[in-house]
Amino acid sequence: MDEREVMVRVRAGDAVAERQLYDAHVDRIYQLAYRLAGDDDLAQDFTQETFIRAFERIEGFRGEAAFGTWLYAIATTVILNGLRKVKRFRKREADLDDAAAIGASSSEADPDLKERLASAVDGLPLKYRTVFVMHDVEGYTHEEIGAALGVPPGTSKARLSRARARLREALAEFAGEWVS
Amino acid sequence: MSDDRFEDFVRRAAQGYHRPPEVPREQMWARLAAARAERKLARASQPSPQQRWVRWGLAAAAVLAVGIGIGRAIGPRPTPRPSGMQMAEGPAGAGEQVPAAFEIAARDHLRHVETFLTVFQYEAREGLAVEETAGLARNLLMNTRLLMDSPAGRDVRMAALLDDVEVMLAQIASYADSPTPAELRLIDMGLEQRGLLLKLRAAVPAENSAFRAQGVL
Repeated sequence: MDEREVMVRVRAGDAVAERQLYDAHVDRIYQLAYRLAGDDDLAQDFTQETFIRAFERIEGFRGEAAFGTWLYAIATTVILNGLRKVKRFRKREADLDDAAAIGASSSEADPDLKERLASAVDGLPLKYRTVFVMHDVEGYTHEEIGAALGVPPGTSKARLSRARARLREALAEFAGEWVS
Repeated sequence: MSDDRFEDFVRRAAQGYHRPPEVPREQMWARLAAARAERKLARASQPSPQQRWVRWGLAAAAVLAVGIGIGRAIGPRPTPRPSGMQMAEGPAGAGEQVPAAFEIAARDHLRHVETFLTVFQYEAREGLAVEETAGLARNLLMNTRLLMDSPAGRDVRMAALLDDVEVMLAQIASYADSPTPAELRLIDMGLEQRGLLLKLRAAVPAENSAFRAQGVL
């Protein structure tokens, strides 16, 4: 069924149409949320909040862009705001429990490539990490990323380039892996 | 060291970064439906802006009525003056004691006016729905005039404040129940020019505000 037709039915309160929209987009949103959060509970929370907001605001969706673009803009807002809150919360927890935090960091003394990469990606500033994950991991285009984040595609490209430069620096000792 | 090689390498290696499990579609759909139902219920149990204003207005009127009632019951009664006969009186406000009940009623009333104007100004500036304002302003205006004619109005500073309040409320009351943006701007400008909210807050310190303590704002 045409997406526009589905939208009309959703606006009319048709639960079946809502489920159709959900099915069409939930995988991509959950996967992005999981990639960025690294936690199933958080990813589910962010996905749920994204759809709640989308269904609440669907009257305001004027169809100037694709529904997916509009929905991913909501999703990235929800995810990034959620992650900022989680980061603040975890920082407070870490401040209260310094010993545990030191113990956790010392366990990564000799990481293999995957661990080092994961750690380097985790260490990227959120705006770089978001673009890196969306583009290099989830396969979004710069146009899609720009629309979701509300920035020009050029900004998305620049952020990706900075993210890669930082990763390259962090993975310097593995240079043989990609040079060979 | 080629950039392209590094890009390919990092892209491949990053596929394992926070690799998502199978999407728990049904579980999330069930949670989504429950959360939406819960929010709908919570929203339905919240008073609408209209109900909030009406409740607020009734409370304001009730408090003032009780205050004035007490004042009339326990305050000094004015001596009837024979018509046409001049009475020797001191200057307004000098040496006159405002009965405590009138003072309390006046302060309560000013607190309500301050709350009304604060909420009104906030909603007007935020572009939120400003409804039922004229009706409430009329109620407050009526109470203001009652107070102006009561012993509370004998106090010079109180009388001046009540005068300002009367003008402002009369202006709001003269507009329709849902003022236009232009009308809202005029009212807002009037409030700012008179510094009325500052005067009200000075006259009724915030820590004494029973309404704020009740979470009205």
